[in-house]
Amino acid sequence: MARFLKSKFFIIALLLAIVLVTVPSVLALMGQGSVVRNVLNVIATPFRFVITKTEESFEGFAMYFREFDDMHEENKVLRARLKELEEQVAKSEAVREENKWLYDYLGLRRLHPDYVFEAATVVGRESGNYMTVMTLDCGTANGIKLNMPAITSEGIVGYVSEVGLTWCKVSTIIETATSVGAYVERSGEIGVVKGDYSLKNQGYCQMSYLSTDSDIKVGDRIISSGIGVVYPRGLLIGTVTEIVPDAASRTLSAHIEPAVDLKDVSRVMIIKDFAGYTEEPADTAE
Amino acid sequence: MNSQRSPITWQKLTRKSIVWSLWLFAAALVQTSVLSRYQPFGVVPEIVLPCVIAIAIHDGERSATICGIIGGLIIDSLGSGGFSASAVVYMLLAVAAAFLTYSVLSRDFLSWAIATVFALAVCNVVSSIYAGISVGAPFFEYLGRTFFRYIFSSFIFSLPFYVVTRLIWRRFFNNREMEG
Repeated sequence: MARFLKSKFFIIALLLAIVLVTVPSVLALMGQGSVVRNVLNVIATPFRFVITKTEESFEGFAMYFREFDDMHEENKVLRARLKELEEQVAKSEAVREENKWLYDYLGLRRLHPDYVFEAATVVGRESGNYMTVMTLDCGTANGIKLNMPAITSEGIVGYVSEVGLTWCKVSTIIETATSVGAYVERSGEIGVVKGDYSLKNQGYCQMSYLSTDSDIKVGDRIISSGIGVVYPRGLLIGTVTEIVPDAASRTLSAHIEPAVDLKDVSRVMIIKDFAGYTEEPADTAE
Repeated sequence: MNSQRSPITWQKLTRKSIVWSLWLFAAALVQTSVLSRYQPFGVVPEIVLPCVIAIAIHDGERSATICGIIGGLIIDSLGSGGFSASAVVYMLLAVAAAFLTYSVLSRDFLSWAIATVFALAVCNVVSSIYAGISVGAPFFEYLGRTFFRYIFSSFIFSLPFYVVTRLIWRRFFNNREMEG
């Protein structure tokens, strides 16, 4: 090793290295580039250009996959967010419906301060195109008794025809066994609204025993008269859609479309007490 | 160390120098264009010095001397500005590695690994001193922050370059001018 370190080759090389280090450094400190540095960088530039372009190509290729992964991840996040928002919308829709129902309920309370209500939800329906009997989620435990009227803010739904501890069944006004004392709001003509087998499938009921000279027209509103023990006076039953003569009895019958959409009703109010209410049972409501 | 010089002509030495220069130039391009951009492990890995060490181990002290100077010169020209003494540092480290190989170590991967880690450590210390002098960086803080990452990163990324250096040597110059 000592021989090599003392050799001309090594000494010259070392001196050359020192010169090659010192001269460019001094030139650089003076703000001038050295020839060696300049030449090497000139040679390197095209290679660097090619390397950079190749690198960028690979980067673009890799970017595609990175972006795909990012988009996939973003898609997952957005889907989750969408689901969350859909749930919120569904909840707000339910809240809106409940709000409307409570608003209507409040209106009824103001209109009829003597009514004692029990709110109930429809939890079951009789199968068929037009529901004539529906099951509610309250019963004797809530103070519900037979023949109590069930209504909504739109009008009469029916009456409690069967009651259990936590449930009850309501027969709607289109049920054949139902009859309600009623009058025509415009003219005061009185009659009885009953369920009719042939009309119930259309969702209608019938006002019978109207004299042939009765003042009744299509579009007239029919109101409960309060005659009987089930329904209080002044509740809307429905609207006249058709007037037909009854040849056998020589009277008129009017087809009534109930004010309440019995197909879609989901919440009702059962009137537990009202002025004039008696607890006498009535076999067919009124 | 008893060394026996094999007949080597200047022509041969020049040919070797050109081949190794091109290889070191390629390594420097990768180091200064690609690795300096991505800085794996937070540092720019050193590729040229491990290549110089590999040449020194396999090709002897003359090649080590020349390649040390050329490697240092290339890396200083392409990779830094201002004062730089890589040519001298690389040359001395390469000569040291060549002599260590012939006296203590052997011409294999383990020898290269040991010599490379030692050379990188020295180089990092020199860089820390230079950083302290040129920009006033605290020596120990700079050294502590970069030391292990620099050695690890440089060693990992220079592995393929070691393989290629060895292949070049086997293909073209497998007749050393000095045997230990």
